[in-house]
Amino acid sequence: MGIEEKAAPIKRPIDALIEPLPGGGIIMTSVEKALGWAREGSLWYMLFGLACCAIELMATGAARYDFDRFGMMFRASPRQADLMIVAGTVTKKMAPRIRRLWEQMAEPRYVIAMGSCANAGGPFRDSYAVVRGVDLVIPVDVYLPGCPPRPEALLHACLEVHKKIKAEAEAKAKKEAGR
Amino acid sequence: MPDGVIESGESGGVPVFRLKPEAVLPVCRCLKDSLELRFDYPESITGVDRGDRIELIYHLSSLLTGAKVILRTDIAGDDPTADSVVSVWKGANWQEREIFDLLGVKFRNHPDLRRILLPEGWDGYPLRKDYVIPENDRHFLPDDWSVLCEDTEPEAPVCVTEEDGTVICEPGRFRTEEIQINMGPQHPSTHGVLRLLLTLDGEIVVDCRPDIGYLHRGMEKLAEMRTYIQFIPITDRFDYLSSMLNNAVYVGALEKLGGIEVPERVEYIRVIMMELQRIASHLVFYGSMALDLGATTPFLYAFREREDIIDLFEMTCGARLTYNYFRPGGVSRDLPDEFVPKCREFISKMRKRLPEYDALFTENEIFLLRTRGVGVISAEDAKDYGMSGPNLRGSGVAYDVRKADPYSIYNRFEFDVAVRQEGDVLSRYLVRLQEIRESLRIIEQALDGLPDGKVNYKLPPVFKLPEGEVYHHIESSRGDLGCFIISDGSPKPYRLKWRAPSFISLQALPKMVKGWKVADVVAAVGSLDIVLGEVDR
Repeated sequence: MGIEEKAAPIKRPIDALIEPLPGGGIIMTSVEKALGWAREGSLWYMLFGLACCAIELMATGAARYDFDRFGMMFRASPRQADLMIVAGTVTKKMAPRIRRLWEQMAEPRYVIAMGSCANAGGPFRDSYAVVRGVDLVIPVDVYLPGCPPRPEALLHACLEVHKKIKAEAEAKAKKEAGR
Repeated sequence: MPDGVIESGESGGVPVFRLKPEAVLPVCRCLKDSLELRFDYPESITGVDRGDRIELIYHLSSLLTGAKVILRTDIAGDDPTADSVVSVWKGANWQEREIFDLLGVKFRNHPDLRRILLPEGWDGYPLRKDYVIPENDRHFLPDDWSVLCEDTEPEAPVCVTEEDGTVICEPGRFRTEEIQINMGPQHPSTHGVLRLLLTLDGEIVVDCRPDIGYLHRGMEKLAEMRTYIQFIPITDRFDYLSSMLNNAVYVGALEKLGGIEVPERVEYIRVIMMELQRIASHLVFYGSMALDLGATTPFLYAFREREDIIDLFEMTCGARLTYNYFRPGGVSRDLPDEFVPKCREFISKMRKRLPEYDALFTENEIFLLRTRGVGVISAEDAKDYGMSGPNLRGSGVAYDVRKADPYSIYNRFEFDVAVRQEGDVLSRYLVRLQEIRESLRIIEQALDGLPDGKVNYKLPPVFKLPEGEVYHHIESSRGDLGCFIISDGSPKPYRLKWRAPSFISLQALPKMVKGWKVADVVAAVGSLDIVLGEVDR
């Protein structure tokens, strides 16, 4: 009793991926799982705002909602970004630029269509200059409704992307193991 | 007035002259140059499709005397052509390009008549009444994305001219050469989807051409397809940093034309909301300007304070960004009980923190070096370009619509118009910071005088306005925000025109940045505080 009694170990998310070996000092996991874990924990988004939703995106990055606690930081260059948050109305003049930015991002890349405009044109659906949803231009992973969505909703959408990354990694690891 | 006046009258106390098309240019020149008139401010130029002809309406005013005049002219024919007035006011440039883009009016002697909001290659003129909105979802999108639309801008010359006049094109020889770089539409410091084409000599900016329209959503056409009340939520999305002020100008125009009375309490609530919104918008300016210049802390501070204002808005109307709060003759709901104490708490908190914010910038050597004397625009040029708001006041012109043409109940409050003489980036920043202090003063007075009473006005099932037209303008956080509505008596507007202050102010950017370095372009764009939703509409 006393000093020898150890406190209960803190449960970390990484523990789920690790198979402890007797004696300790070595951890084993699959490459896919470790990569997925790393990707999920440092999902950098592109600093890219189109319209009103971009202000909510900025607010999410600021002090009260604090994107950084999920390991999410903005990168100004598409080359360094993993996640594109299409925050705002996509116009016909902007669509080719969005496509080009998406193509400049390194794989694996993810896209959140933030707000009704990016989902389907929103209140401007019947306008002559607006694309009726960014999925006509690039593939979308998570659709986030709202005009504009609240920062909490955006955080939820990002957590959904995290889930997707994790599920992808696990599926790939299983496939590798079954080979 | 020279010959060419077909008829004269007045509308809402402003003289109106209908002119022959060929008389517009001489009349405009006379209005500007004559010493007693001095119409130095091209407030708004509107084109209207009247079926068989296109009507151009010029709202002009004089910042010296406060006088206003409206000129109208009709251009008939399949290929409507008018004389450009860019030689009189530089600020007419983009306004005429917009009319060319959306209504297909050609302007003779215009220096740069190209499409401005819509992409090159667009077919048709959307604001014409016979324009058919494309139904196809893939309209104007390429079928094959591997062929991306290349930029249509001309390439920079490869050959250079030596001082003695010889042209040298041989490769490999040591020489300097101008290069073109593309800043935006995705760039962290263009505040949205602004694209700037910079021609550089080394790091010095030789030429700067803004390319806008990446957020053109065709809102003026949408207005013609929606009823008056249905359009209120869309006004939130013009200048999404000051939605309340956009609501205010639109609803104010409806009330002016419909002769709707506004209860006392509503006026006070509106003033509180508008001034809170102005502070919120200036805080975003403060934060993003700091980010542009390389500092992150002010951004986090500014957004912390802004969240407090948003909490106040949210408890009142339930939304964080797009409020949809104003109604003709009222507001959508009354202030909750806890609003007034919370608002007072915010004022004292903000007062305490402002000196700290100010010190972060104005006592910072780097910031001063980056902003003092950079991006200067003189008072004459600023007026000529039609700039307004803090950008104009930063150049020493004390023009504030709240004082010059009081609307709502602004004449009851005591406040000063913030003015700086220098016209550089620093002065535009200081004007905005001073405006936050003045807005706090106004809110405090409005909270003290807030009367009891009704806030709702019972709207008829079908809201209609009498036939006629109205121009209403207010001082938004970006400047002189105007709304021009032509009504034909139906539940939908015949034509709605938004006089967007950022759109007009942005024209002055090339003038500001020529001869400066690329990093100073970032400072100048930040100091103009444009919102692309309003620039492109």
